[in-house]
Amino acid sequence: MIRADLSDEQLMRLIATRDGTALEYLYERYSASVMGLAMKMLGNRAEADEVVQETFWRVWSKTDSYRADRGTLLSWIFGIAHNLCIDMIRQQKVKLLNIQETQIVNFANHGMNEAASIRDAVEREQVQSAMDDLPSEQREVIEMAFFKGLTRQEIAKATGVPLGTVHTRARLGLQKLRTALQARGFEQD
Amino acid sequence: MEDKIEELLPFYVLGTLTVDEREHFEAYLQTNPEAREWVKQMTLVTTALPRYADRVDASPHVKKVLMERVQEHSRAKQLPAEKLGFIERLRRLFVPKGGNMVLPAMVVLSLVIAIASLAWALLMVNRASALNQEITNLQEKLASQEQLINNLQEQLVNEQQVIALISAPGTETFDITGTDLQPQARGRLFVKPNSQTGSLVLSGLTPLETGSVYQLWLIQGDLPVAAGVFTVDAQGQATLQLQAVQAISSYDALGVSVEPEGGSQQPTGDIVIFSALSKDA
Repeated sequence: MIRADLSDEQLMRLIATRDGTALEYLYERYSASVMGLAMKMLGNRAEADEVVQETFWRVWSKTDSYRADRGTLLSWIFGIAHNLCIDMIRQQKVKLLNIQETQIVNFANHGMNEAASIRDAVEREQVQSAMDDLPSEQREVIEMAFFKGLTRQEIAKATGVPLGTVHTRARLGLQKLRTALQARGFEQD
Repeated sequence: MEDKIEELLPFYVLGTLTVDEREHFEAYLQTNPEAREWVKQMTLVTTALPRYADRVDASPHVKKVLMERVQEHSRAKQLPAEKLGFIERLRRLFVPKGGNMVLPAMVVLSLVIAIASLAWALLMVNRASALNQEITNLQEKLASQEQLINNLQEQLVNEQQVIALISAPGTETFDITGTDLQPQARGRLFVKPNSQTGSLVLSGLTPLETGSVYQLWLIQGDLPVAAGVFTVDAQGQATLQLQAVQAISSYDALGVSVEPEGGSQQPTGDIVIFSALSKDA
């Protein structure tokens, strides 16, 4: 019996035994997070849907490649989705400057128990707050790289600053973001 | 850390190095524990960043297609490939996991067109083959008709010669009769006096099976002389022109025997006609 209070690790063990219901439950739990990331990166619902489906398909078909000692399941899932989005951007399947489609923000955390749901909301607030505290030019570089998949050369061209400045802003931005997250109690998985 | 490659660190963490840069950087990481530690520390950021995006519901069909894919995958794991039905294996070959049916539909349409073209081509080949066969049959029939015409012309010539011989003054006539083996057989021999040629008209002979012929013998004393082989038509009739080495009327008798195809040196089979060439007949 799959229940909301089964941990991610327990769900993964069930998925490894080819339990489709466990995957369905994991999908309910995290598909909106993955879709949110894909929408932010691609700005295209059809492409984002494709990323969501492929991400969870890889969770199902490449269960063996998940290593619990290297991070949480959600981090692994986000990593898969992020790479898929980067690949799509690189293949020029989507334009670099997307017109953001209307999004339906998911306030209901399906598949999460109350504690997980609260934790998810807190973590989002911590990240939002930490990002807001970054100097805008550093935040811009991080966003362009992480969410738009731009290379450092493309960022330099888009922002009109020297490549060396882009390197500095990225490095400083990451370091400050890490410090800000730690200060807010965001825990590494 | 090396100055230049160190600049790639944040973009490696953010996942936006080019393929070549990433390969180069990962090789560098293998030899640089300080850089590895920095990357490890930054995983806190890469873990956090996806949460900067709002949650958005995926389209309802995504889950449906995913779960169909999962069920299909589970079934495939349970069933060995060789036990899958032919149609199912074909379907898995052409239908992508994502469920987009445009490509499969195009593949199926192309297959249908290819099969239809092949069927049409085969139909045309069969039609051409049938026409060729018909032409061959008609040519054979034409050759057969030509042979028939030749036979009829030859027969006509024979009969004209017979008529000429019969109507010629001084022609001698000899009645020919069958033996007990074919008592219904009869005929008439027409020869001019002292002539080495003559005409023999026969009827009532039984048509022979393939492989056997009638052979005519002119007999002088006890010595039979082969005078040719012949067959009869469906009515048992034959009209023959004889050519002998001496005057036909000088022979004592005429006989017909059944011989193997090609004839024999001496009579070997049934003698179905034997008649003396009596001047008094």
